[in-house]
Amino acid sequence: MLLEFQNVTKRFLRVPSGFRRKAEYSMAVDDVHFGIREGEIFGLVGESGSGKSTIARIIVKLLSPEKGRILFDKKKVLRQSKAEGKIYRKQVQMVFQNPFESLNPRQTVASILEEGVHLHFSHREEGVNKEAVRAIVEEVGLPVSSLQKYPHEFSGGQRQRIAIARALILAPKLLILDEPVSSLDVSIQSQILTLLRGLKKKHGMTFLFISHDLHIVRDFCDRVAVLRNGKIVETGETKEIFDSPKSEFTKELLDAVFRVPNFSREEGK
Amino acid sequence: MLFADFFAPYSPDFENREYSYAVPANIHFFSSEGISRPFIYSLISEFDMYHQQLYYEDITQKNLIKFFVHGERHYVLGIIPTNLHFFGTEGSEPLYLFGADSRGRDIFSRILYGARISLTIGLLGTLITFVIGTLIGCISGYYGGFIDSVLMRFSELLMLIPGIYLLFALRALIPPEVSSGQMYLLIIVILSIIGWAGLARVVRGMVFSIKEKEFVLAAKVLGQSDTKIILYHILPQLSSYLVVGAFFSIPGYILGESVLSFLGLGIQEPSVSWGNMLSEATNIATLTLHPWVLFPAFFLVLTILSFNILADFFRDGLDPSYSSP
Amino acid sequence: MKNNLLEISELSVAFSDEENVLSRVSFSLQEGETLALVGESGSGKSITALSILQLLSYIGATHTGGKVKYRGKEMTPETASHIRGKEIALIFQDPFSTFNPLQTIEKHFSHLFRYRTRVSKKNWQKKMISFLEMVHLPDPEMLLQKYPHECSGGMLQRIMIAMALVCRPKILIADEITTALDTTVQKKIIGVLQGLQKKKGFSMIVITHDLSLAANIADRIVVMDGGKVVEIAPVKDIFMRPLHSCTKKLISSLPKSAFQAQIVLE
Repeated sequence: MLLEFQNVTKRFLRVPSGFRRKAEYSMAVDDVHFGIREGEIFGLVGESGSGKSTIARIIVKLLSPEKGRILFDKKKVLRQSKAEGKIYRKQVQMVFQNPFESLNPRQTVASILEEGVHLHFSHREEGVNKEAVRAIVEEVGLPVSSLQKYPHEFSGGQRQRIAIARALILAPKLLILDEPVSSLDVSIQSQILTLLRGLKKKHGMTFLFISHDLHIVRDFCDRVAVLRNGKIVETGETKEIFDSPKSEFTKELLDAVFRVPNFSREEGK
Repeated sequence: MLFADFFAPYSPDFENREYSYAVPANIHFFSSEGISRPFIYSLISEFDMYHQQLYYEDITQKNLIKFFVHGERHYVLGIIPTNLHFFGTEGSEPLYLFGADSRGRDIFSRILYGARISLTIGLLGTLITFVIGTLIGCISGYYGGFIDSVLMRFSELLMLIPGIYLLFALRALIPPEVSSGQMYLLIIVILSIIGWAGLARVVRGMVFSIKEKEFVLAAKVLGQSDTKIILYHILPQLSSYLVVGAFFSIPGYILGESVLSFLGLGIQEPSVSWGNMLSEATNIATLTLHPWVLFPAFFLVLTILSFNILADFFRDGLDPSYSSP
Repeated sequence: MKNNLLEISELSVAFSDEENVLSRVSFSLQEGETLALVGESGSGKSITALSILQLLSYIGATHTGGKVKYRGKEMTPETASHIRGKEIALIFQDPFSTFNPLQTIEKHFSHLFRYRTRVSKKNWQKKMISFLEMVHLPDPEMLLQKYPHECSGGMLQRIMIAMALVCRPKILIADEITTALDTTVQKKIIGVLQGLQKKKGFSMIVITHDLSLAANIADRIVVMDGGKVVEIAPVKDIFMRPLHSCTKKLISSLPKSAFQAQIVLE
């Protein structure tokens, strides 16, 4: 197991509104338990508000849970020392959902990519780092000339490529993809997914793929966990979950998906 | 402004008591001998039955207006000693472009000198306010929680006090015998103390929303430090607002100084500012008989208007998605 | 062949002195039919909907050519105001911004009854409840007293459908109404729409970027790309025999698991 989530719980304080003085807590993640194996693509599926993004943000330490343990490479993630934290940051990276918001509009692509390099590879020579930035841009399928441009000059798909490059340049072991294609057009979606598959094969990374789109999860992931209201309903091999779901909720979720009917069968009649 | 010494025909405290409330100079280009270089006639004054001083032009005495005339000694930029002035008259007849005040001082020269104080107070005051306001706003918005509560309650306390009374109160604390240089600095400080709270609250609100943006989260995930996130990712998003806001607030400071000086609480004689020049216009009789004492107000309006137009211009020009660098 | 309820011919639209965002769009809608407008973002689907209802001035665009005929009569901005809402209803993507946050659901309905119908005031309540029941909303009496922010997106979208049906429209235009919703809710809403259509017999134009949704609800699909209609065909033909490269691209970019059976594109 590369990453283990053990009984993790995170509550959000619901700010009391109006005259209701009593503070309420809502469970964002409730006693969640799962593990991601090295080299696999692990999918997290669920409806909006089911706690998918919260889990992602706990892993990258943007949020800290109330209870539970997280192990990465058999080492504790919570309450790391500063030096450990820095190594962890380099090994676990994240691609965000909205490519129109995840890039600083006032930075050039070059400086977006260099930020992480300067933080984690400051010991390397400047020339080596420059070369790495150039290589990564080409690897995600953008021309080198785009380095001098600003984010607003790119389309949504291209921006998502930049965001992927920013995470990839640190050569992370685990890449968290939080709905990386859900704001993109269908044809762009498949391009980005193809790119991700290729990158994974080449670099041997592990993916945590978060999505609400069951079609994509089915095609893309090796194993899947189904989330509902902050709890894991079911975990298993993608094929198993999709072909013979055990829980009612998973069945309901699968039934709700629109699929293109089998027209050829009708034609045969 | 820096070259006030040079462009002003006279120094601000050059008095010519005989020319109390002299009318603005009537520049002539034609004389009985035909066209000539611009000149003014000497003024003859006499008192009427109400002991009002009236001025008449003495057409027999022509005084040519010349450029680069020799006058009082002064230091250009405070270093180069010279007695050259940009323009003026040669001889004893003074040139009062905008007329003279009660003590016979040239209003035009005094406006130029007054601009030094009025404008620098505007610029310096805004600078200090924006530095304090942005700093506190950023800290408060970024860290949130307890720090935020403390800072914001404090700024609310400042905002609660009516500004003009706070000004009076703070002014009252200052002993009257401070030099005009100290007074000048104190006014800037007073105006800045009042000003930063509102700005800090706006900045805090903006930082609050920006820090939730995904690119800030991405920087955190990369492992960037808090200070650098504020500097590289949050401040640049605020920059256009801050620049525009600063230009919009400069007039406020100029006006603030004018109000204080106008009421006699700010810059005091013998230093000149537009505000204390205007304090002469408080008397309605003076105003009706010698309307030219209002010239500083005209410049005040003009300056404020220009800063506002400039701010508008910056607001349109500073959006990165319109003009790619 | 059934009558053409709506006929759009050679419709072109442009934003002020720029290139056409819609160029020569033509299609027709028959009585009782469901048409799906499919295309990527920026292909001109929503603008088509707005131009049918003569609402272009709201987004600063103008007609540069072509006609929209409703029941054989040409639509102009003047005649459209009588048809809009009454004969042709439009439902938007974002349910939260279509409701006034300061008014209860009941208030929204009563406006509708007052200005658009001749139902007498004492029957309003009963009517409202019956309309809400029509879209399978539980506990309609309670719901009427609620404010929009107290309802979920799926509920609001169903209320929108109920409100759109008050005037018994002949055509319902649904602009990406399920895009912002969870899949389980999507399915419910589409189910509601299909059931109502069967009962009331109105025609629908469903605007969506989701081909698999279109495949399930539409009779015919209009594929749009860059402001042009590139292909119009019955659903089966679109998937079995796509002609235009753009249609092929859309189909092939669907994930494999979106198909119940493998489709081999030639």
